[in-house]
Amino acid sequence: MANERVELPQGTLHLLTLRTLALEPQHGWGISERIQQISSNVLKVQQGSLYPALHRLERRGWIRAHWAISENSRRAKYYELTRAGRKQQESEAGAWRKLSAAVAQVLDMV
Amino acid sequence: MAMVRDLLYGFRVLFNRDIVERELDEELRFHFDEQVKKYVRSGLSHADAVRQVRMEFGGVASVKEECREARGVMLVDTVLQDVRYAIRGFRRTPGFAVMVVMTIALGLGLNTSVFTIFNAYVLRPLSVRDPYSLYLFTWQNRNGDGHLFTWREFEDFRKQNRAFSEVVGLEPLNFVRVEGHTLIGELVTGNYFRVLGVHAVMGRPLIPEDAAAPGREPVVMLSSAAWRNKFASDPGIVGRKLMIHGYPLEVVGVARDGERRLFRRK
Repeated sequence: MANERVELPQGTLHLLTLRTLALEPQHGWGISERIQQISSNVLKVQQGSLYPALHRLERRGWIRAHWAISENSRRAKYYELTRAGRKQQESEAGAWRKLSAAVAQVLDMV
Repeated sequence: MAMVRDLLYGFRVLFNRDIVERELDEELRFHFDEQVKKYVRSGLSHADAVRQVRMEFGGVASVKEECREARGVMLVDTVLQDVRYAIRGFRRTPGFAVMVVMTIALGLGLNTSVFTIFNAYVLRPLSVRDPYSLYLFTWQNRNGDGHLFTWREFEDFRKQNRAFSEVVGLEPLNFVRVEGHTLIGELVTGNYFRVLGVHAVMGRPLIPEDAAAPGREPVVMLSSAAWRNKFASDPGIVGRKLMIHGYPLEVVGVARDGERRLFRRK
């Protein structure tokens, strides 16, 4: 199973995080779980890269954080998209789709 | 707008550093515990789950470090850490610290004094009205010997002059003993202060009438510095008589601050 996992290309973690938060506000662990589930366990986000990324996104003003009580009644830090983050997410997703479609085309050529 | 937001975020991070750090701790612990719970749910024993998560987590310190970096206050933080480190080092080796401080102090002091002299002699223009319209006349014979102008020659020059609005005569008077103090002075014509536009802070400046007739009672004007330093800012200085070279000179005024002799001789 470990072999099926793919390393995240540089920069995609931002997009995946923003995309996940576009569904609903979520805490860090929830984000990594959601990405893993939805990608059918192919993508695994290490907390070593997730938390720095969250701080970077917050600094850029694309997400904001607040403390709330989690589903198992513990205090957790929840992140949500800002309006700028929503726009960013849309444009990044569009760019990624274009890129991956183009790469796929080139790969299917042979 | 982005800059303001960035700045506010930076302030929060910088000034509430403890809070932000604590929040980060709590956030990471939450993640850790959730992950452990997940493994326990999937059938691992609690101890195995903890071991597994620890392995995945890697160095918590390095994660925190990266978060700090992402927040972008590394520079200030690092500088503070460096300062703290330096102070600790100095405390361990006080002798060395004293030497360093003295070396820097000496260097600073030397630089400051050199600049002070340079500033006074080279950089500061004369503190008079329109210093660049002033010209200095001297008289030299063929052998290169300097001559002084006699009063009569000065008067002739003054009367025949068409090129300059006014002519001022002056003669340095170095190191005169006045009431036990050594002063540096200048003998000047009565129009000196009017031409240079120097005002008096006390009494009056010299006026042309002071030099109208030879033998009239001579008068003197003190610089602010001399009045302060040699006469203890005596409020009754105006009207006093000072003996200079055996002549009683009446003090008529004190020149404004910063006034210096016009020309410094080699």
